[in-house]
Amino acid sequence: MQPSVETAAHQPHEVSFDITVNGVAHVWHRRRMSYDDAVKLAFPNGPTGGDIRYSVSWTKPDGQEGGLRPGQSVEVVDEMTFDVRNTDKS
Amino acid sequence: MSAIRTSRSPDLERLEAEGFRLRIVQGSAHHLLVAGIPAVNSRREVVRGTLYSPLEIDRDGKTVNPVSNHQCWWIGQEAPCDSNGRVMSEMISNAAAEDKGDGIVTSVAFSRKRADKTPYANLHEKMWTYVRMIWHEAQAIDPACDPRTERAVPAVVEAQARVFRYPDMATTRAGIGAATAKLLTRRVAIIGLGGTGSYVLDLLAKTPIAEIHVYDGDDFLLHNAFRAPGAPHIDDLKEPKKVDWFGAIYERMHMGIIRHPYHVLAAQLPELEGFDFVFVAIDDAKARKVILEFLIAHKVPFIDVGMDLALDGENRLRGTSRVTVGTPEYHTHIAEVVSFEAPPADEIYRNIQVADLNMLNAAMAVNKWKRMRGFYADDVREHHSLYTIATQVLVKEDRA
Repeated sequence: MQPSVETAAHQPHEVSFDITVNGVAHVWHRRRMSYDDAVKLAFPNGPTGGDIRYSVSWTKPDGQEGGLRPGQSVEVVDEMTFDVRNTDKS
Repeated sequence: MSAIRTSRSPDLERLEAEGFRLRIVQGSAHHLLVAGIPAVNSRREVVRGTLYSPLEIDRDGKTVNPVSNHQCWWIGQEAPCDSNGRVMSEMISNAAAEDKGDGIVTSVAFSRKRADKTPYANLHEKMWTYVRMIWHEAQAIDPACDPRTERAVPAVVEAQARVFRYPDMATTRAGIGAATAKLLTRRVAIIGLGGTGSYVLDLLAKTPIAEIHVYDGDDFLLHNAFRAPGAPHIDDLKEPKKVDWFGAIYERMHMGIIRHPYHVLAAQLPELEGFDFVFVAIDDAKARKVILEFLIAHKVPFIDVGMDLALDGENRLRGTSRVTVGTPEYHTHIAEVVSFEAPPADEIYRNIQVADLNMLNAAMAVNKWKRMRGFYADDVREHHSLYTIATQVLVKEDRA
């Protein structure tokens, strides 16, 4: 299913996943995505830190889904989708 | 909503005049009980039991005919038997106890339709149908027994404290008085009557909360009309205070809408101490911080809501709706998942909101509150959820 992952253990630099973050396509070269990684892909210029919290949700093509909180990370697969939002409006 | 008078309904008036012992309960739902019905028990003794029917009435307190619900229920030590002491199972649709709410628990459910399957014309015909079947068996043992008293007795009407200006027939018709009663709450606050807060009010106004306090200092402007329940007339758009605009609408139905035409800042925090539950639906991250910290410190349970939408490269919106619960028992996740600092307003952080996502965010919040109260089953018991539109992801975290 993911040949790039199979070889990744031996050749970590070859890892490559096509993902989208907030609807924008990215190629991701690591096997995991952390909360900080996802926020940085979504908002490269921030703001981050302090009391700012983003709501991160993700889904994989097989239907798995979940969230990411500060300090957490998730295994990345091809065609994985992340949404990173500042859910502070009413 | 005033106390029911049997004189408004010929069917009830006739049952009363015939000597039936009627008890009418106006609570979370509306109920009719007819006490003193002679029935046979399994030892072939004549005992008395009570027939129960939901009571559907119109806005004027008059019974709605023909009768929409053909069923009756029995309240008694045993299910009614025939004269041989055999349970009349042919008319029993459920032999288990059912909680009808307002303190009424039935023991057996009956189902007996008219021969031609049409609805009963009125409650007189319906109640008599069930009375006759049960009483007939008792008469075989004691010919003198009678469900009627010799002289008419006035119906006993028990009207509980009123919340609505007219009776809640949605609960009565659905037969969910026991579930609705779990929503009985003294004082609830909605902080913020923006897009989401106004839809929260729309839903809470239909629940039996005694007092719904609404806090907002803003005016109701043209753009708000497109992110709120209902449809204002152009002549209504004279920039009333939001609490006055929505207060006037929902007071038409709910008697306990209390307006607070100001924002909740540090000075107003003590007002929040006495609430049983608080919905926080505001945009200001700094205000959110002080409000949530106060609620946690004073052990007031709350739900904080928030949403975010942004355009992608093809002018399509992507966004997420968040619902976060804090209770005296579970609140340490709040600082991890709720933003307490406002990002600087720039192109990226435009305030985009759309009515259906406000409505969804509000519905998720009210649904969660109803699950916390036991109105809905709540198997997951999450304290934080995210719904994302494009991916249809529903994150459910902090289960406890």
